[in-house]
Amino acid sequence: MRERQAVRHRRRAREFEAFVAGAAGRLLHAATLLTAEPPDDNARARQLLTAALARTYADWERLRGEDPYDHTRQELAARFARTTWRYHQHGRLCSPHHREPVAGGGGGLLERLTPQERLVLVLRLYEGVAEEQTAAQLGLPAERVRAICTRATAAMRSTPPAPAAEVTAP
Amino acid sequence: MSLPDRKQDEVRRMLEGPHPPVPADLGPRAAERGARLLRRRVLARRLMWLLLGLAVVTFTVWALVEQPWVAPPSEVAPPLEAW
Repeated sequence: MRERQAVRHRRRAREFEAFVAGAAGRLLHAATLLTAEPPDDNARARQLLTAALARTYADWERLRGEDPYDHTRQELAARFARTTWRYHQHGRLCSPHHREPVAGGGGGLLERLTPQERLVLVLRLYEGVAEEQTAAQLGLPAERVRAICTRATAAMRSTPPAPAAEVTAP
Repeated sequence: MSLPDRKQDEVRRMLEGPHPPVPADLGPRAAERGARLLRRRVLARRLMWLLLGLAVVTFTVWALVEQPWVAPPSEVAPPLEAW
């Protein structure tokens, strides 16, 4: 019994390591986009991703065919939404149109957007999650997700960041 | 391609910027934390089963001692007649 458990444990650790090696880069980029931190100073994104990956590790045996990547992304999005809700309650991100960096942010690509807009933009455009799925995950109606996505897209295009200056309106 | 699609493609390209470097200890730290979470879950499950078992044993012993299904003997004496 103990022997079998040890074998299972080792196999899980091996599979998880392979998964992280393949997926961590993309997931960390997504997390850094969400937190709007600069790529070389993304402590909160790393923290979020570590927590989400820990959940995936714990649920590994129960995934049974579900994609661990999807599982981690869902956990990441949920965690981000939860912690951001905490910020909300402290009254820091109340205005839907605040255009200030958040909690030590500065230099992140999406820092001009609200957390909700970032979440929708990252899930819809970066991760390519379907509109209905995004809506279900965030607990919003699909039309609302589409509206937020359109608004965020417009906001991103109206003030392109310095490195992407070649992207100009037609 | 419609106009909104083209706009979204533009933003999509912006999002596909350079990826941040992944710290080497991120995976191991996550695995360690996950293992801790798992141990805690197993412990909680064991505790639940233990409590359930204890409750069943307690109930059984109580039922055997009290035998609540046996009607208690009547405490009212029959009326005295023809004495």
